[in-house]
Amino acid sequence: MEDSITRRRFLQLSAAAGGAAVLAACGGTPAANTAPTAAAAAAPTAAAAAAPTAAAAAAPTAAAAAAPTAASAAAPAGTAVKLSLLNENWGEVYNNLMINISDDFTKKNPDIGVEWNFDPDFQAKLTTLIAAGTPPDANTIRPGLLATLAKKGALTELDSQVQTAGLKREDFIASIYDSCLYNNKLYAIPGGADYICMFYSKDVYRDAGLDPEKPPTTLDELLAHSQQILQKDSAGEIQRVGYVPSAGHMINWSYIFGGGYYDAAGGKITANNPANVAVLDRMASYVKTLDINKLASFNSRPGTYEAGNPFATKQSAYIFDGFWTYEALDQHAPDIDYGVAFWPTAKGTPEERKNYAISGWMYAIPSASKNSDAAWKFIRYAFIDECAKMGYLTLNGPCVKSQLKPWEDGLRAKIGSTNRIDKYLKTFADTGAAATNFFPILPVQSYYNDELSRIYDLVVRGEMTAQAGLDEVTKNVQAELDKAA
Amino acid sequence: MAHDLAAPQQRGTARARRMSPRVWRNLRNGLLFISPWLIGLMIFTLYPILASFWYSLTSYDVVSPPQFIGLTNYVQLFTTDPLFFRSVGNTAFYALIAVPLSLLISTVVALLLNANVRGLPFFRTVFFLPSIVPDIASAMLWSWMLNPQFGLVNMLLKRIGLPALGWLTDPAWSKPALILIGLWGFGGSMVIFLAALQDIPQHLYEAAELDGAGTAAKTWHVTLPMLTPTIFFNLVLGMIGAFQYFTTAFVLTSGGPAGSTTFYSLMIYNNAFRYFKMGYASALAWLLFAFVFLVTWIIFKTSGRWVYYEVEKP
Repeated sequence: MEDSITRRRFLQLSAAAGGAAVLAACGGTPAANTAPTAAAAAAPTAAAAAAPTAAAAAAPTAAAAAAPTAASAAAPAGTAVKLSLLNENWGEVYNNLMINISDDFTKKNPDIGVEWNFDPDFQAKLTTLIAAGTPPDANTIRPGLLATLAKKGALTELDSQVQTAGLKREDFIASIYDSCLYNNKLYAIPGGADYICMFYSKDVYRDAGLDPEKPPTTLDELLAHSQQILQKDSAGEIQRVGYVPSAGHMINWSYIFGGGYYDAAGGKITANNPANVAVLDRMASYVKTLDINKLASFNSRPGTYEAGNPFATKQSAYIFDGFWTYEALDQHAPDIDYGVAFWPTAKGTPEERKNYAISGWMYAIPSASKNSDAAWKFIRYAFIDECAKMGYLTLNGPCVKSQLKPWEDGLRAKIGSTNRIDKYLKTFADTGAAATNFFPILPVQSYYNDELSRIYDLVVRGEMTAQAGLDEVTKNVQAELDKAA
Repeated sequence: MAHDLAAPQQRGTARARRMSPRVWRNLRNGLLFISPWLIGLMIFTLYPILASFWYSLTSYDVVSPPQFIGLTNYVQLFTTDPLFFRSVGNTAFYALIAVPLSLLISTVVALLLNANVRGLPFFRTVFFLPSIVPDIASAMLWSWMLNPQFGLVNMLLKRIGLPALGWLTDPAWSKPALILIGLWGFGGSMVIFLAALQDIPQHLYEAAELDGAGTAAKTWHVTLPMLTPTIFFNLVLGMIGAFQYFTTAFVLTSGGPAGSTTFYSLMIYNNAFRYFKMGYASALAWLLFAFVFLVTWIIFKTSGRWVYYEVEKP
């Protein structure tokens, strides 16, 4: 047996096997990527429409011979194009619902299959895939990264597709549509919007001697109610709290009070806009009455989506969040009597709701997508034509105005008309329909947000004034923006 | 010139001639056997390290090709970045407190666990166990332990009449809280100290006893000098680890409150993966490397004065 293979022979074989493994690892094409090419041989017409250049240049016969199994296994029978989609990972339940939506899409478009890739860190993955020249056909995207990628020409302009579909800006929720623009060109389609409203505990209102049917409509009222609700123990620890501000809230308050964070015409960061400074001053004064360390200590209790959260234990009067919060409240606070009201404004008038700033997520098509036409078909189906369904199934706010009512009806049918949130669904829809503001779409958005959070923390802790803090943000972010330009 | 070029070649050939066929074959085969590791090292370690140095001299956002900007990233670190000195301060605070404390505690506990008492294996296991708990699990556990309202630590403080502390929510206590969490995992260095303690020749203690030394004198004059190589080893590793401190702070505080736990590695992470400033993050990483190298070099240079090796180097 020892003589059957020499050491030299063994080493040669090992080197050959190792080399083959390295070549296979480096040169192998993922099945998902080969599918469209291989399938091109089977259905040339559809494939030519989807990816004409790449598919035609790739010698379909050879590709089909090289990976026939991958093609048939990767794409459902009869499909000519296999879309590769990169989506934020929302958890198994909601990911499966997105898969259901794509299955319905494939039933109506038998020549287009869909392969999902759900990733919690989808932005880093997308950047890497684009840098490697192997982007998905379409992907979730957030405003900050949208600006970065659009600036580099890595995303497809979608203005002509939207025009061809007979759609215009007015058909969409304005804030989210505008969040898809970079240099006035559309680089994504609104996917889901966060219509944030104010959940308030009627139980806490009753206990505090407030009228449970009269939630605050202005910031003054909100802070006055909060002072009445506030309870501390003998050690000064907060036992019950009203409004709990945050850096994120500061942004919305700023817009409500006429502030803003970017002057698009001049290309200037305006974090130190006087209205922003006044809002931050107000937040800091209010937090001072609570004692920041006591408030931080109180905030270390379980969050809204966890059991034992202070709203559920009647120790917190407000939650500022989207309609999807009903699920957590059903689970963790089944006995709480709550209501939902519009986010308070300066004067409490409906007209001021246009000042609301709304954020959300979008869907984009990388410019190197091999199946951009098919990707557009899917995006149009899931996030425009069927966005109400996508919204109520996956608990996202739809971004097409005409679908707000079907979304409301669909959600009502899903959760049942006896659910506590039922009568407030319209409040969320109206918030979305009214809002026009959004945080600026800049290549330095993450940095801008981090700087605002950092300074907010320092200001509410009394370590610097609102003016000095926001001046510093303006200076730092402007410097980064100038560098990015 | 031609002569100069030929000379090394001739020397190399002469060396190869001196190498017997058997030695040459063994060398070649050995290299072939470790070649998967060598190739892996070159592709996955050496290349990224060298590439990161190049990127540190560029403006690089991953999507576009890197643009050479010379030392601009390094200059900006020191001149315009508002977080640079803060993160350096936070990291230095952590390293200068956590590492000596960890050394002290692991030495003391190792000394205690080296005594001949009943149930020794049980105690050794108990003290070692936390060091094998994954960082994330440990962080989650401590987030509950240190919860200002319901945490066990504050409950104990209240029981003995002390005020509750805002461990991870108060800037004054956030770094001490993270140091406390880090100390919990001292088991790794403790085991190394234990092994070193058991390696101390018994005759040294016997000789000390003959000279009239008591427990304290034996510890001071025999045990500690004999432990210095281990202290030196743990000090170097501890310092390197402390300057790279990241996971627990990232999970528990993400740099807050008020920037009090913005450690240097967190800053690298944010610049690389949140702001996609890979060139800037590479410059930060190389500066960290240079600093850690310098500190390690200083420790090595001073070790001659305080590290005692039983067997002197020839």
